[in-house]
Amino acid sequence: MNSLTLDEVKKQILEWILQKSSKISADQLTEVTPLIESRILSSLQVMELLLFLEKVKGSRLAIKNLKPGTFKDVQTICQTFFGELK
Amino acid sequence: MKKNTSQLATLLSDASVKHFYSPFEAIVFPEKVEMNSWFTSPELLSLYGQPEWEQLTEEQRRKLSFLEAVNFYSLNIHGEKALIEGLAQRLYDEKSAEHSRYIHHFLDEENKHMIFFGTFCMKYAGKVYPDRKLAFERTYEDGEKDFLFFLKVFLFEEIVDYHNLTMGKDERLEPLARKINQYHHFDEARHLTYGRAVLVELFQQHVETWGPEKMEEIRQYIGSYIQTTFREYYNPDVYQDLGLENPYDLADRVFHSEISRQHRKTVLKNVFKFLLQNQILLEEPAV
Repeated sequence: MNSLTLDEVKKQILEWILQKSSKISADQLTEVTPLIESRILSSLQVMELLLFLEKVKGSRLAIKNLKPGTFKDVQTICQTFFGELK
Repeated sequence: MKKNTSQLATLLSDASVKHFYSPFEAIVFPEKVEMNSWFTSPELLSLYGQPEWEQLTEEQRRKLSFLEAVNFYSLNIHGEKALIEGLAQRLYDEKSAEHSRYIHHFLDEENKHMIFFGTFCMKYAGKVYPDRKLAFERTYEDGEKDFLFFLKVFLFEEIVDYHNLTMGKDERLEPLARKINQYHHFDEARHLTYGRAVLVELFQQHVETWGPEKMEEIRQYIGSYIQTTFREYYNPDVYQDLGLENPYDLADRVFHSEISRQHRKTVLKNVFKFLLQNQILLEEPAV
């Protein structure tokens, strides 16, 4: 990973969501906006999000044992996959 | 007279019995395969026609054909695992006994395919590429879950079958790779016939009650599902294993290129024809 901070990663994910989903605008989307429950992202788009997260992280993400709710919102996504960042 | 799905299931069960085979005898897996062979038809490779293709050596192109064969077999394994799960849930439900009889064959044949794919991947590549698809629970309208299940089966298998049919006939391919594609196509022809009939039956049963808003949602879903299914054919793990730089950017760029879009349209020609004819789609979605 290119020594990104947690805030920079969050920003990138929020921008990605705005680019991919027509169901929310920039002034409505925050890191705690429910993504799946509000159908901002579909399960199909989550696969594409995974590829994006892997690109940001620079390595493959282990998804086999993910807990339900991992993709609930941007905050949870960051805690799950980028917990080591400050 | 057009057969109903129960009658069709009976005919297909009889055909499955007639063509029954043991997966352990049908295909012999040698200790080694000649790595400098084609394992995927070059024209079906994700980089074919792209600027990157021109930069690959002949040896790299053939290695890509091996890695993309492993990727193709891997995504088949993941797709068939989900298919088997869904089919098993539908055994002995409210449909006729003829359906359950055929589902037993369907399950058996899908299991055999996974044996072929899994044996190849583990024996010659030492791995199956992991799956990136995730499914979230949600609520469905009456009949919607069944319809979406058979819709996904139809789309996934039609796309796979285009590849099987092309590669099963391709004499440039390493004989084992060719044979795996031939066997898969042979069984899939029956599965596709069944899946198409059930899909249309479910659509006709429920379309009136779903209404235009739900149908619009389903039609959007079809476009998304096709895109996601094809996205797996452009796997950054493959590019990484081939030693290419920036595999994620490469996968992204190649997937969105016009050459790839045209390729997808060719693969999907009959899929769209069928969905339009049955009014499941009203226009072709962007691919």
